[in-house]
Amino acid sequence: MSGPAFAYITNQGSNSVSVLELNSGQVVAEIPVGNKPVGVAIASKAKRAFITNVESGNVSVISTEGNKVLKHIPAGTSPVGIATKADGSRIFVADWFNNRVLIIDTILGSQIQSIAISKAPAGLILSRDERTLYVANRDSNDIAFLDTTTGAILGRTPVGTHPFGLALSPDGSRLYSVNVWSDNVSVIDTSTRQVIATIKVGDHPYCATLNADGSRLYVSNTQADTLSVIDTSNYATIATVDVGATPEGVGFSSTLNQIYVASWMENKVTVVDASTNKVLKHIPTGKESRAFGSFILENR
Amino acid sequence: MKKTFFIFLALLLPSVATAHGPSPQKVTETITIKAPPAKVWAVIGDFNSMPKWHPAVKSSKVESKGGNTFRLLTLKDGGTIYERLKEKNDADMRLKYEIIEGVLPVSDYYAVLSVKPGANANESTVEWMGRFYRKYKLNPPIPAGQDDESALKAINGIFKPGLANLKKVVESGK
Repeated sequence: MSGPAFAYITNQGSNSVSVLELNSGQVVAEIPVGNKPVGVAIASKAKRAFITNVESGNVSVISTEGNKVLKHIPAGTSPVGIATKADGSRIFVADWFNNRVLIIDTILGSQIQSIAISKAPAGLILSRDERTLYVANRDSNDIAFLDTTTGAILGRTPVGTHPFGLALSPDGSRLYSVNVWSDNVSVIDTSTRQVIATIKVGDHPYCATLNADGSRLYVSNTQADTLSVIDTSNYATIATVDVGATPEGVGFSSTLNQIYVASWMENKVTVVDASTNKVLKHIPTGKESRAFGSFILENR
Repeated sequence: MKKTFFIFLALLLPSVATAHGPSPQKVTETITIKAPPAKVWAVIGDFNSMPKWHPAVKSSKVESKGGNTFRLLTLKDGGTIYERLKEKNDADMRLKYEIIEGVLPVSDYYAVLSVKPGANANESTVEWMGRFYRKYKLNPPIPAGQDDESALKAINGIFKPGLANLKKVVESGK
């Protein structure tokens, strides 16, 4: 009934990626990558995981079949956020210090375009049709909408203070921006690019994800050490779950109906049952787990 | 020409070698104290108590403003640190606080100080953890003293002697 599902967790403190097999809850591989890995993007069907190494200025390309690094692609000075096309042919990388988004051809291993964006681009996510890239600009407090074909900036939407992580509803209609300093999440209608709601969450929120039908939003609160569970129909917080300290990346497995939260402080991933909002277990990872981005691999 | 080029490279290389991205830094320090957790918490759970146990802190002054609690620490070397109490949890014996401004070469500094039961009866484990960035958060080159190493050195230099002295203070019963 449940197919294979894996989580690719970046470990800033051990320069590695822990691969968790989610059915068993076991770490099946720890893959050495570049310096201070942060971001992760998965192209499940293409069997690729892309990892940003913020202090080596490159992206590690991992084959998810053998869990081996195939190559490193140069990616600016300080790559943080990353998104990939579903077929793994192109990746989009936020070059934090240079205030740019890089578009990279992963087959050629070269940069196609470098686009000036706003200050300190962080989280990236692609629209469902892959025509628009959403960029959270942490230090200019806005979300930029970038045309992935032309590289043109289609618009900018002001959000809360210090937007970092992003999440997109399964139907692509709602974009959620997690705002670290204002302790809230901005809900954006992707067709009008307007903020339609602001949801209060916990202290210093970082990342978010949604469940399979988009009815629940999960937000990590790094300084409250909790996960906020939000009903997206009325934006009410229906649970606040204690998770591993300094929770950063959040992922959801449709296969297992579970949420995975990377704990930077405690070097582990907390597994939460999405039907009960209770912690099931903690899985030890490498040091300083971040898992910034879409880190779940499953065939759905 | 060639010589000039190498001098140029030599000037350039150190800044490249020490270039760091926007990675948060972590310091965690733990110590075992031969006393029950409640006794340890009675000492460190008071946000105004640092001069009683930390050897580098000369005085502490707590103030309330707009529903928040702050403390101004004055160090023995004259420097000051202004901090905000984020949470005091007596049930879990945990303090969370952040630096608003101060002499330490860090930014976005956030710390948790907590007490848990130790491995044996009448023993406690105190954990102090900090998450922060270096002082200089912009593009390299990084000014001297504002890099990751300086930030880590400063916080390690506070946590280690602080916990060692806390152990002395609690175990001597003063």
